[in-house]
Amino acid sequence: MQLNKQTVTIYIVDDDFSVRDSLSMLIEFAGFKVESYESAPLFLEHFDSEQPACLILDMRMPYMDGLELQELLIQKCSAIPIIFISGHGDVPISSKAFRSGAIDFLEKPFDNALLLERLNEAVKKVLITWPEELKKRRILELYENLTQREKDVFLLITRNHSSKEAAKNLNISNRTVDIHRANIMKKMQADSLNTLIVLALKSDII
Amino acid sequence: MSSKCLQQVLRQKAENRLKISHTDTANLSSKAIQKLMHEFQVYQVELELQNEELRDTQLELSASRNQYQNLYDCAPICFLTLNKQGEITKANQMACKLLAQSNIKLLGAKYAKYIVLDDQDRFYLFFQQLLKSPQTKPIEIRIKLANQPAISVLCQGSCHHLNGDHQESELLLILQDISHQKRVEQKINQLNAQLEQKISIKNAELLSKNQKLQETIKGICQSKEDLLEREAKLNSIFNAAIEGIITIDEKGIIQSVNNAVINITGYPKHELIGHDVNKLMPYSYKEQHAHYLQHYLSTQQAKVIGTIRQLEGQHKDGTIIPIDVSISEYKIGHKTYFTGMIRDVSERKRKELLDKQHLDELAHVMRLGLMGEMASGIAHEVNQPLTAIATYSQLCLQLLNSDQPDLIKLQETLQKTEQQALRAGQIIRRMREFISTNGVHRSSTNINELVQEAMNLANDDCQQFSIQHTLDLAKSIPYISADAVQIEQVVLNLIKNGIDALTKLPPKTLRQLSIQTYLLESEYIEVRIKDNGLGITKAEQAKIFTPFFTTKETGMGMGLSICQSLINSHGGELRFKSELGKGSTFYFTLPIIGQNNATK
Repeated sequence: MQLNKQTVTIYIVDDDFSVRDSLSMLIEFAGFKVESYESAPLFLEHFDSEQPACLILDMRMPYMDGLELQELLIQKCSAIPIIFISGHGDVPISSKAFRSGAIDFLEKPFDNALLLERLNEAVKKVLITWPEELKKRRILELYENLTQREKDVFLLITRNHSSKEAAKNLNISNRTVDIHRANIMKKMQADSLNTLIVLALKSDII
Repeated sequence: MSSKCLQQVLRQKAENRLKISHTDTANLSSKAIQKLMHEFQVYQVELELQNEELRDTQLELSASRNQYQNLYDCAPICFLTLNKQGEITKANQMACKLLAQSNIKLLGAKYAKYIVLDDQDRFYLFFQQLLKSPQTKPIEIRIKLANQPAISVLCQGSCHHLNGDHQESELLLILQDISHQKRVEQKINQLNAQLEQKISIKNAELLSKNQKLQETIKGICQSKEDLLEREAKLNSIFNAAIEGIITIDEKGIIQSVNNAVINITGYPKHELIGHDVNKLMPYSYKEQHAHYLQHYLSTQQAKVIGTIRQLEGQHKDGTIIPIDVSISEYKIGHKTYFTGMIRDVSERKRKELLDKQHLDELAHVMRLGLMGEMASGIAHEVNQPLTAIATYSQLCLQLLNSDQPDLIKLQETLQKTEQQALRAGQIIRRMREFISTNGVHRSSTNINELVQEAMNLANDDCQQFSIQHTLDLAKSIPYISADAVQIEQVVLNLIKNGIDALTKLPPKTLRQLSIQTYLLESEYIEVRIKDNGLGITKAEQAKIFTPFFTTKETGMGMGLSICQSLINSHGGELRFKSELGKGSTFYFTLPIIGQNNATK
């Protein structure tokens, strides 16, 4: 898939219609594909995590506030970049948002040029990281298909433990470890231990 | 044989013997013959005498024999005579009767055939033994009878050797019917057995009764142990209970107390037991209690029994302890006792007080916070349209900057911008309306009423901390124009500050709080709130109206600064005087209606 500006969806989540409307118009005019929702649950219903996207997120909303949504997305392993907008320049809240990886935290009313600038940065970042992100997701999917025992063995051997050590560590026989190892290679579509370690590193499993 | 015939036979025998002798009588001289004759005659007489004697003896013998025969036949004992072969040679009538045979049939019959088969061997042995030695122990044998049950007899025997010859022996058996005796014996045995059986039954009964008794005893012992255990348990509960437990008799004399009572009241045990329970009551209750007790004993109508009552007790050091009391009654014999459970609720009361204080503070903070909250709300509300306006404006700029500006879109966006600006204005207008209706609401107000109301609110606290408060309110004081809620809040705050100051005084010190209202220079009224607390240090005085300054452990330090701003906004002034160790006076002025309505 050819990636460009248009392939990145900009989600706007804000409970105020006028804010949503004005932002959608401005961002669409800037050449992006925009989807806007008045609440976090509504957004989650339509959010397609298989497509590259950015999120402009209001902090104070009914049902679920911005921080809660951010936390939920992190739990879901979504790396979607988030720009917070808020009517309150609340320092503790904003620092929490930043700690969780927010691109920026803009206090309403904000400088729209700044917003667009930040948005462009975020989109660029997404375009660069998206292919890797996809790969990482595939690897994680494969990893999730492993049995718990296989995961245990996986974590040990990709951390440079020998089969013998792994067997001792898990209190199982060398032979069993070897069987697990073969299964892991097969399931993870890796031809060597090195490949496996690369996969593990790429997907942040280890 | 006749006696004549017997005589002839005897004569013949004698003559024959005479012929054998060789005495030649023919050769004898007549003298010798005469002499011999005489000898013969004497001899003859001697013989006749002898003969007579013999005849007498024979008669005697025959009489004796008859007597013996009679005795033999009529004796109530069976006599049997057996020969050596065991054949019956003689039997008396009794024997015949016993064996149920006639004499003739018996004679010559073997005695053994009358003996029960099982006993025959024994009899044979007895028989043989008897032949050898006359001294043989009697044996018991059974005699069999036709068509009748066998009878037991005791068989005694003796052996006679006829002619001193062992060849010819005769056995005399004496049989004694002992069947009756046997039956009696049997009966006795039977009775004995029955008796024994009965005894054994009785014995068994006794044993089982004994066992039961022992079990009962064991049970009693167990019960006793249980009782002791329970008593120990109860005792430990009694003493470990957090609630005080006091038992009194019908005169109110303390019978027992547990450790909790000692802890609650501060009296050692020996100062309580035997003393009147009213020792633990404050003065006002003492008489009442005696009265209650009398009343209850005479009418059985109780006010306290079965319910929990909130009362007051007195500690040894004189302090009053709030307590919950529940009383139950029990009787031993004719005596009535009362058990009182006492819970020291001072902690709870204190907590209640704290909770109340907390609530008060909360209400206070909420009032203070309302304004900030409102401001924050306004800001958020207004920020939304402002954000939209900024964004729409940015869009407009970008539209204008594009090569071929989309004028329709531009117009649309500008209209939206205008709408958002109007919306922002509306929000602000709505807020102002809200404030003007719900915020400051001034009306002509009687300051005395406000002070009275504020005092009512603080009344509980004054009682709680034993604070004497006096109200000295000026009569016919002019009305003021004020927000009654705000001014009441100020008065209440100042009263509470006074109470706080007074509670820091040591116990048993007089605590006074007085509030005065009066007219000042005909333009203002003044309110004074005076306490006799510890006073305020110079350093504290300098900062007392500064926001967030406080001397209290729990407090925001907003009270006085807010009070001051509220009074100022009403065109009045709040000031204070304080002297260390003597107390503080806070006083504020407010303008009278029609004199000075200025609000700063």
